[in-house]
Amino acid sequence: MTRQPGLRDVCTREGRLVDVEADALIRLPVAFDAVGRESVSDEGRDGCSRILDDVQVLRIPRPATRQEEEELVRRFLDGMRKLFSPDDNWTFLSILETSMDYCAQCNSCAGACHLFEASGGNGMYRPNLRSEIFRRIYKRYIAKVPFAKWRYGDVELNWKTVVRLGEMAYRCNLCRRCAQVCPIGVDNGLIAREIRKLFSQEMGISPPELHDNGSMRQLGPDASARNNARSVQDRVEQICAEYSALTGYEFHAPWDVQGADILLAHSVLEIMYWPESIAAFAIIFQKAGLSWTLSSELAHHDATNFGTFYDDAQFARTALLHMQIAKRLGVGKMVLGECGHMSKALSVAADRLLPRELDIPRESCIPILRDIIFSGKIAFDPSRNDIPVTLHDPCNVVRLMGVNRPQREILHYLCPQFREMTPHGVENYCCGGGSGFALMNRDNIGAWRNNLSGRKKMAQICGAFAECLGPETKKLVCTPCSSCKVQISDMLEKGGVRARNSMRCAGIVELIVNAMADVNPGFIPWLRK
Amino acid sequence: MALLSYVVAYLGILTFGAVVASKCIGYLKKPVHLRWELYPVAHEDARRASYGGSYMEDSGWWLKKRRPSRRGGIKAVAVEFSTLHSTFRNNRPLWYRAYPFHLGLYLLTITMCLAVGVSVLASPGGLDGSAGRFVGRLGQTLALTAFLCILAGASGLLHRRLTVPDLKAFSTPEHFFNLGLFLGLSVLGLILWLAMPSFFGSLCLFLGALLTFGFISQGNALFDLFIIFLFALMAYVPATHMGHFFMKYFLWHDIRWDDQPARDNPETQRKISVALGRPVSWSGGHVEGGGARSWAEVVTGRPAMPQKREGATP
Repeated sequence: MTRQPGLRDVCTREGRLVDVEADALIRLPVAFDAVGRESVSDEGRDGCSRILDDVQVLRIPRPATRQEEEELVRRFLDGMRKLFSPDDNWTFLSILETSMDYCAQCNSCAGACHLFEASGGNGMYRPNLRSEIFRRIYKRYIAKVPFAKWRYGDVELNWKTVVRLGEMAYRCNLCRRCAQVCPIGVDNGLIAREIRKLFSQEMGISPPELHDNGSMRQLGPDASARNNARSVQDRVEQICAEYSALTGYEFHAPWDVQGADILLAHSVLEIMYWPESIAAFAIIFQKAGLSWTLSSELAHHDATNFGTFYDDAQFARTALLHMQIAKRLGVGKMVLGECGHMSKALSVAADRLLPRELDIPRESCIPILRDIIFSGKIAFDPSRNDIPVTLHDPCNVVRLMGVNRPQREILHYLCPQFREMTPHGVENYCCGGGSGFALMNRDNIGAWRNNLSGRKKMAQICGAFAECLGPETKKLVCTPCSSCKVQISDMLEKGGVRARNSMRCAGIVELIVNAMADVNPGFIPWLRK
Repeated sequence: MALLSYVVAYLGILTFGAVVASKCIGYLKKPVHLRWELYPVAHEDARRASYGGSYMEDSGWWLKKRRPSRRGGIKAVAVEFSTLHSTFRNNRPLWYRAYPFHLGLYLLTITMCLAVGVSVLASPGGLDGSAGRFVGRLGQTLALTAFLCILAGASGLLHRRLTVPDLKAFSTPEHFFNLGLFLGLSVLGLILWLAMPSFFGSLCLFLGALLTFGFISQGNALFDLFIIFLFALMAYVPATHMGHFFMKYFLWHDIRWDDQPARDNPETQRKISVALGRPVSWSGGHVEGGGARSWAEVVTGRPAMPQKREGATP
């Protein structure tokens, strides 16, 4: 095993390629309990190949014979051809091709990658490693550029290259910080997603959390869809009752109101794990006197778009499904709750997929929340939020949608001790749960998320609270994204930071309701003095 | 040799134009892509562009008139091209080498343009008179600075690629070959500049003859070799990754900053309709393309539930 795999190592080395040693990781300013990693063999489980590192996101059966090896390579090449076909990949062909052709290998991307930095500069996390292997295969086998081997360098295309390339596409959070700093405009994040696409759309290989238990259940026949609509409605009604009692403010969540101005979309992650977020939205919207509704059909299928992370067909199907639901309800617009990728998927990426009749306006919830707060319809007492608060910017909302200022206006107004992380806004670092990882825990993925992919974010959080670390002062990390909340809360909890440093994570809506002057104090009970 | 230099110059110009045009047309003929913008987007209004905000920061943005700032876009590109601002911010050690290299190429281009201007506008006799002498000195200075910058930049970049392990591992033979070509050009240019009474004057005469099909020999084989080298390089560079000097327009304007909603743009809507009619041949069981069904047909149907899928939870 090595810390600095070269391009040829990916194709030639036997056994597991890379070891990311715990003592090479960047140091954190607080004590952080590493999540234990399961010791695994190179064979992995169930005869699957585990030849990259000790994490296994994809379960690619290890070829047993030479013929199986060749078959794996053949299917990969078939998929690669389709990635460069204007029919099969019209969605991203122009971006992919330019990223293939104009990279100068300047390595600016590595300096911007939170994984590369957090791992202490481990070569596997260099964003252009997977891109360059993919590029060399493309130049030689797909584009068939004359003298490709001489001009661009050689890589051997064999089953090990294919398996490792597939796994390497899942050692990236698709935050696209690398693309942002590229002086040319090459997008290594996109290349990682295109490799994921190739494996899914051609070879039928993808993480079960995103496909089998994600988009397939979401899009499948009603009986197997993700959630039982009635049980979700019951859950929301229960949340409303609990929080009505807590706040002393009687509120309800309206369901399936035909012709409402707003359809509010929540991911099921929010409904199941962040009840306070559901309650807070309902309180704010009711207080502001908005005409709004939730959709039982949307709750049934889930407003998450798993396809965003790995598959264009599933992405487009899910986006259409969501918009058909909005269309049937005849709403004026769709407001996307605190879920970063849902907001980007429907607002930006799906924009050029929808037929005109389904192009119902969609927007992030953050601008409308800002407008409500400064409309004067609700009275606030910011002293209720008088603890150190910092903001984690979800990449999807900020870097990829440009919704940057409204959340800051809210927090500056409602949180007297608000402070920024460094860097923040469009230059933020990913929480480590991006691109579907927040949903994954099996096969050392949970340990990887906590110990490595979220490490840079943890360092940033500690930096924002540098003067008040320790258990004496309560501190709150605010983020308007349920996946980011899952990831950050998980790190705070499992790393022992929450207990040792009185630090928690919440969404913006919770802080808004917590500061409302005419509901009982203590919407976030932990903050009550 | 002199005649060969003219032949190579004509071929170089034609090839350069053809390669640039074919790459640009090739890009423009690609199907519409999904929105994949990255903020900051330079053509947002100045306030928003400064912190990376977008029109989506306004609730009900579709009801408001969007006013993309063409000036903002041009300014950002001008700053990027003239200073390599992105590299300066994000990769300073590289900038110290890449900037002189690019500056040298810009100066060489300006020198060539000045020489063309002189050859077209100046009277026969060229650089006589006080104005002519000033332009001559300016041309000489520009050429010298250009060659020195290219020499410093190309050697610095080569040295970095050879000595920094991270860069060396990812450098291809073409990277070294290309930088070697520029190094050779600058060395040859410097030798000529020192050896000839007026390098710039000879360049004016050559370019004037090139424009008028005069084929005048400069009587200097080294100068002819330089011209052959220069125009061969001109033909070659756009075909390599160094073609980013013109493709960057598309990479930035058409991809990174392409935030235009389809609802505002009937042409984009038409292109989307065409794209959705394209056939799908992906073999994944859930896609069910088969080459016969269109994207519209595939994505408006629900995927069939497979019996068993690789990668699935057992």
